[in-house]
Amino acid sequence: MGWIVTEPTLSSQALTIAGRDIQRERRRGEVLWVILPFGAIAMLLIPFGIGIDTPMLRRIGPGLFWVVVLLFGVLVTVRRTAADTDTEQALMLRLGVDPVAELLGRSAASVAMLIGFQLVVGAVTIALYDVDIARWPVLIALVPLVAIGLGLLGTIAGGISGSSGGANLVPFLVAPLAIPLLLAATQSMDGSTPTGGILGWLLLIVVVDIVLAVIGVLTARPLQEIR
Amino acid sequence: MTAPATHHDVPASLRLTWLDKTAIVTLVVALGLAFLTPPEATQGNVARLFYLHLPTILVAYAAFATTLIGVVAYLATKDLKWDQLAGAAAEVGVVFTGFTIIVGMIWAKPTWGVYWTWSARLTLTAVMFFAYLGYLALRRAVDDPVVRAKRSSLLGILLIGLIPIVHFSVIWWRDIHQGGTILRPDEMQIDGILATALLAGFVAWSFTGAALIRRSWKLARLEGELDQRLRAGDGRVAGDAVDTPALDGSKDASS
Amino acid sequence: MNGWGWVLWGYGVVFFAVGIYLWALMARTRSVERRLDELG
Repeated sequence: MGWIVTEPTLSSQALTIAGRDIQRERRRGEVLWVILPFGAIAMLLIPFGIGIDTPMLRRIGPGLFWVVVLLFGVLVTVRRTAADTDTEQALMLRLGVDPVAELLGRSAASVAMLIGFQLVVGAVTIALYDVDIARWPVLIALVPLVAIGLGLLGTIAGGISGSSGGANLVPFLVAPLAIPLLLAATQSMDGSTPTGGILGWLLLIVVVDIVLAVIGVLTARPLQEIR
Repeated sequence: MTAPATHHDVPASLRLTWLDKTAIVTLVVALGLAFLTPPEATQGNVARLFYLHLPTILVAYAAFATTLIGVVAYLATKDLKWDQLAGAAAEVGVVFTGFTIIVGMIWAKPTWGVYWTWSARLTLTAVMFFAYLGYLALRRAVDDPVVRAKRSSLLGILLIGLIPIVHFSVIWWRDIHQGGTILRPDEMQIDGILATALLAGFVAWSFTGAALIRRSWKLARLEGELDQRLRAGDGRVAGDAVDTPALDGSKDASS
Repeated sequence: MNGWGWVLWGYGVVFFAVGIYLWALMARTRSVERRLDELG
């Protein structure tokens, strides 16, 4: 008896696409060789501008880290391997790939890379700014949540801008909308925030992520139609 | 010297509508009241800027609401004129948000000694300015009117979904860090004739904002019409001007 | 600068900018109207 072909589920489609994106990026290496080092050198440049007074750096390092994650990390979502060529788009349409699966898959790939981005740039920050992360357990939730938020936001904004925007429109669109992520990240890691406050800020990111996921699903099909 | 144009010959761009005239009249009245009323009790003459600052905030919000209406209406009807309204209102909104910030800064310097404070309201206004600007930037980047309408309205959805959260997060953040010594911006005694000056400001700038949005919308509609006519064209292509070569010396029948 | 100076600055900037914006709107509209007229 031969094997039975069943229609691929949403999740399996999304996983395949995520895997494909990560595979592509592994070959191209733009995140590893360009975007990640760019984020790292940003952390290096800042003290050139504001001085190397260690107590000051220790104080502002974490905040600056999160700003760099948002401004530079979004570039991960608009990397070269994030956009399909016309041929690839046509192929996806022919194959009947669910646009929602495509969105989720692309975002998942970006999320994975953003987690890596945060870890590496974070290590650089701890080293250069002598940051003492007393609240490191919060990061266990914070890093993935921020990655999900930024990944979804960048992917959706990238889809909305299409090829017309170029690489610079998406970061500009994302910047104001990423403010809740920035505030939540800095406030939840801040030593003066009480535990209730930390949970509140983390919950805010969860809300942002959910809202983004909903918007992504709503706009997936219309976006496919205009490509 | 040509005879003066009759009313019917004045093109739409230069004609003053009733809205324009009302705006001008109310603006003059509001200006008069703003300058002739007595100085405010605690802040003196500088408070006159508030008869300008608050109305411009109102117009900016109204323009934002209009953009929202345009976005939703376009998504519902797919009629391009709604997308044109959204874009036009956003343009006026950016301008007036800019005014709000500038006047706010000019008021803040003599009052608090600094151009900027990180109050929730001022910070949010700055954030809104950039969000609006991003919407306009996307519109600029797309040539095709239908694609532009679709992309802008999807961005509109993203903005509608996230901006309330942005607002909330900024207010919460400032709430936590509000020191007791920060001067509240509302410490003014605006009553009696001063309240009339403020009200006059609201009325005048509402009419002005509406008049500007209407003009901007008209322009967008005309540009859309022009674009449509240019795209439809008369079907001729440049290559039609080239005849096929007649090797035997006779003229080609097609032209 | 006393209070009046700041007030004049504020009003001056806004009215000047509104004037420019209005002028720009009218100029752009005029130019589009002309091009539409040319197309007949």
